[in-house]
Amino acid sequence: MKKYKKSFSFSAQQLFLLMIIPAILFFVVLDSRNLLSPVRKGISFLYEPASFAGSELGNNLKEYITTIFSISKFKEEYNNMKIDIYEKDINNAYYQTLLEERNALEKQLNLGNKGLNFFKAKVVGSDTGTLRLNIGRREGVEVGDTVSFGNMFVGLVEQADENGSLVVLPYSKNSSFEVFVTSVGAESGVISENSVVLSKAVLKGVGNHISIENISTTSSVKEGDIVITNDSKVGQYLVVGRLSNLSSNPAETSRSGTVTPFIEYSDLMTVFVALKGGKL
Amino acid sequence: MILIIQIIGTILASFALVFIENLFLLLFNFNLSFSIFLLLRRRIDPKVLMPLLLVLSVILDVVLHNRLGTNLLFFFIPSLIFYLLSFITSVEEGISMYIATFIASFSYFLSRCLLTTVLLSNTLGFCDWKTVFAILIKTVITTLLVWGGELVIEKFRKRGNSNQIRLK
Repeated sequence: MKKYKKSFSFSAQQLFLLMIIPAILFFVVLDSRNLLSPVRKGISFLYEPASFAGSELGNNLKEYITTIFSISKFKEEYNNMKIDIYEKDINNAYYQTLLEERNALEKQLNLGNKGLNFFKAKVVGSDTGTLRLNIGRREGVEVGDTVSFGNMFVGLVEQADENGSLVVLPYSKNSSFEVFVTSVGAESGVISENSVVLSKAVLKGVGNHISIENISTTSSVKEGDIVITNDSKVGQYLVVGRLSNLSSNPAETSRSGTVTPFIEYSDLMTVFVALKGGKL
Repeated sequence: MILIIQIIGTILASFALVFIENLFLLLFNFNLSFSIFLLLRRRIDPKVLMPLLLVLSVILDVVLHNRLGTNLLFFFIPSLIFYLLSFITSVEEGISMYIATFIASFSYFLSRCLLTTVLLSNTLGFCDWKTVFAILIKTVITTLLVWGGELVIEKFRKRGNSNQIRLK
């Protein structure tokens, strides 16, 4: 304590204050008249790098600190953006569904049998060889009704309940009907009854593929030809698919092969169920 | 030789002070140099403190782009308050020292807020209640820093005497 009083006595403090006042006036007056610019330049040259380094570090640290303190805000923003993205995804999915439905209707109008009345149905599920539809007896769907997509054959209604129905696809082992093989009139549009029939045959579902049998050995059927339904159960000429893996054994009494459908059944979202009234 | 070492040390310390002052100004808008001044004012001879303060305040004025003499004025105001308060109470020890430190710090930060622009452009600085509140917080922090600094220096001094033989 005594030491302090010695080193910083009352008179010393007075002296200190008295010296500061003229110093302040000296600097303020001279600097306001730009007379101390060489001093400023010299000090600036020496100390600006240290000042700049301090400011730079301060800025960086401030940025980090601000980021840390704003984490909850960022989290909230992130969650809001996530919700926004989900909403956009949902909207996008909805528009995709509408687009698919529009395309399906367009195809049905352009390629479907205009003499028949159709129910529009949504595929609500699929299993091996079957599709589940969202319409049933209430809408007038009956067992045996033909389900198509444009001029493509999808299957036959196997089970019709009040609010839904089950469609058997050509893949199913329960599926078997007569077909004919033609090389024209399928890809170019609506199937006409005047199509050149190369051979009649029987189509059977095997489970993982569609088999075609009883093709005449004398016919000029070749791979890539079109297979079209020709059965009273189906009631329409509808394209099943393209002929492939055609057997070529001359010892056989008839030829066989497989049918590759034009459409991927599992990708279908909208299909059309034909009313019974319009059968062959 | 010791004088040369002291001069070199002071020059290096001035660079460090400029660096730290800028760092704290950008981080917390806080003047650490004033806390250092408050800690050193009782420990350095005024004959040494005066030129040191003069040079350092001019350096700070240049790097902070103030009119030369601004920082000197800011250091002068609390020094004057300390001097005036010394007539009423002790400004060298005890609680009264910290109260005086609080008042001096408040005057320092308030003068920074109001007088910086006066010297630059002859207009009084803007100071609302929000600014006063911020100044109060800075003042409390400065007082706490001084208190902490005093404790640390005290501890060092005691440790320095620990090897001495004490006679009861």
